[in-house]
Amino acid sequence: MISLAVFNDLLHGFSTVLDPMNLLWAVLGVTLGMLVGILPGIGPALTIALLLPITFNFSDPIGAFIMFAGIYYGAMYGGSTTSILINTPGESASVATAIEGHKMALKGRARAALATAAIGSFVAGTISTVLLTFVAKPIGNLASEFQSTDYFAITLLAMVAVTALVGHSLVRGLLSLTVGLFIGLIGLDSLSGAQRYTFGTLRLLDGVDVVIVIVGLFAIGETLHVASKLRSTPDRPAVLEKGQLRTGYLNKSDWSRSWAPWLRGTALGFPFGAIPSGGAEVPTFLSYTIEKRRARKAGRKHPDEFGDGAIEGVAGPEAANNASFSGVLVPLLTLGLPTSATAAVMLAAFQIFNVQPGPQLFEDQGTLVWTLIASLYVGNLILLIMNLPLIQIWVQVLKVPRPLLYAGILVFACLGVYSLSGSGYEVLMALLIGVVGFFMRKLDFPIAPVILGVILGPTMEEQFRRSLVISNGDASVFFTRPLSLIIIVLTVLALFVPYLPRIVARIRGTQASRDRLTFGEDD
Amino acid sequence: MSATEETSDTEAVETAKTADLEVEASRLVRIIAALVLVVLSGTFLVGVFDIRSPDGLDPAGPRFFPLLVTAAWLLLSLAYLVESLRSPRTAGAPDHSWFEPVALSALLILYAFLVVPLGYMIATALLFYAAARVLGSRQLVRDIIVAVVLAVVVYIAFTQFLDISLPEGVLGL
Repeated sequence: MISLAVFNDLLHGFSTVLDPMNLLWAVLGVTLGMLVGILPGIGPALTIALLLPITFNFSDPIGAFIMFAGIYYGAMYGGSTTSILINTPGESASVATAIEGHKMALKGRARAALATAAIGSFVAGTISTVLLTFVAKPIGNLASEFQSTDYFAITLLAMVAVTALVGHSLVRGLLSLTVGLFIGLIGLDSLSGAQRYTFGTLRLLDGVDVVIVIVGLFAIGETLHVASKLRSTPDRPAVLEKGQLRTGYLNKSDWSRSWAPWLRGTALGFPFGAIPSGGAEVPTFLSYTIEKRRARKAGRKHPDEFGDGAIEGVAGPEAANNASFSGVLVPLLTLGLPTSATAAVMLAAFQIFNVQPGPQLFEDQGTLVWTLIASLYVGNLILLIMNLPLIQIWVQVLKVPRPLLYAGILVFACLGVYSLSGSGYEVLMALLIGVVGFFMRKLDFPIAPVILGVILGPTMEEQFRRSLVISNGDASVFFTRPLSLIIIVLTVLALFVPYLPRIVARIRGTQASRDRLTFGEDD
Repeated sequence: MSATEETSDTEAVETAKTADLEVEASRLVRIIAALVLVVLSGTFLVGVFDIRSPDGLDPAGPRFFPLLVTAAWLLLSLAYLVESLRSPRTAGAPDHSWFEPVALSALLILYAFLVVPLGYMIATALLFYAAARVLGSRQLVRDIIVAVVLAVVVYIAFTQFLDISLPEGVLGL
């Protein structure tokens, strides 16, 4: 049953977005997002973190969130552009796109690859936003029935599931998570007022700002990591030949080969984004695998191009990538639960504006939510309109020499953390965390669990303690309420998911091809 | 701006994915990191008892979660230490150098202390120029121009249009 109220709310949201000033923020957001996101090695999470300070002085969060939606879409598409043109995916969600996309670019079909990515993103983004529109409020209503034990369980599930699926080792993933949880502990305990790990300094009483953690781990950590490898990796050769880029958009056969992967990608992206599986990695790789398998089966109809620039391998993962973002917004808006690093940065942005996502959000901040959802439709459209003609110009950004690029990233990272409180102390703190991020990259530790730990840790502890206060200290509350119990059982199962192929292989009595089911590191 | 000056003769295309998937660090770095993690988590575990725990209605209290987190951290660090000790020695020279990251870190520390006394524009232009140089740029004039323009534009954009105050420093504008 779809109530008409949704349409009213949405129309109201559109009327806010279509205000000329807000439309300007959306265009500006998409432009900035593209501009920053197209830089090699910079994904949506880092782009939003770097651009956060720009929105600090927005008195009204609505303009800021319209801009964030634009930044996100711009950054995501910028990342795909870099993956296709120079094979440097800025985040793991574009790794699957890079495989076939770059092959297409090498064959002189860069434009077709970029076009199928752009149109696929638009199709997937629009369909999944429609799904979000109708699913968000009912789930929010359902979530308002949640008690603190359920919240505790679901926070735990989000953290553990993302940690288990992202990265290459469970031990390292969980270590990242505990470090994040520890950083979240620093400061005054919200319930008792006790000082925890403040090491006697007043600076740490309020804890470590999540923006510092994000900028430190991503921007500074990445810059230090790139710096350490400069001598062994030559500056990227320019592979952009103008003539190659000009060879046409999608032809008839491209269209007929793209539309089904777009829809299948959307069907994978939205649900996988909505459950805590770490955002876009799982659906993009699944989409790639499915398209490849289908192409193998239908091998007689058209020649199997996989491995040699198959357009299906770009269309599917790109659609999945875009659709998963609307999916990620479902738990973020209705439960206040970020399930990817990008969502975690978005949540930090919400908190900067004193907006607490959760079941009450639709009641308390109705205009804001519906404007945000409406701005997703608009952002998708702006992206499509701007991309196709402007792609030649964006590509020029790729010619910025690497030393200047990373020196610039450091400047903006410092600006971002400095503007938090106006002292050099924040820069030092971000550097310290950046050094940690550097070693994490060197030693192959995943970054996303740290961010989730910092952001979700305090919530999880609060819900845990609140549950115990209500039950008078009886820890069995977590197991007697059916919903909580189910979620806790799912959490335990999530730890075994990475070992699934091995277990299945053992049952079948065959040798597993890979030891663990792994997906790339979330950006 | 053109990238050709910095482009090395070798035509090797950097494939980001394989570089990321490789565990780059040598065995020694892993073992040192594991030991640091063990020492840190152990210290913080002991530090749980420095947290003052008022008697109240809260059955778990402010100590329970820190205890859980640091204990899990310590156990995982020990597991990582065992994993590192068992891992095979990596052959060949490491593909990374320490000079650039250390130099950049030193620059950021200097920046943190100098940004207020020198002012945003001067400190930022210096940071940009020095960082670009550490990162391998050798075009003096171009880098100075970019550094100054970037610092001035950011300063004006943030102070005039976005109302974020940045230190004026010695320029005293």
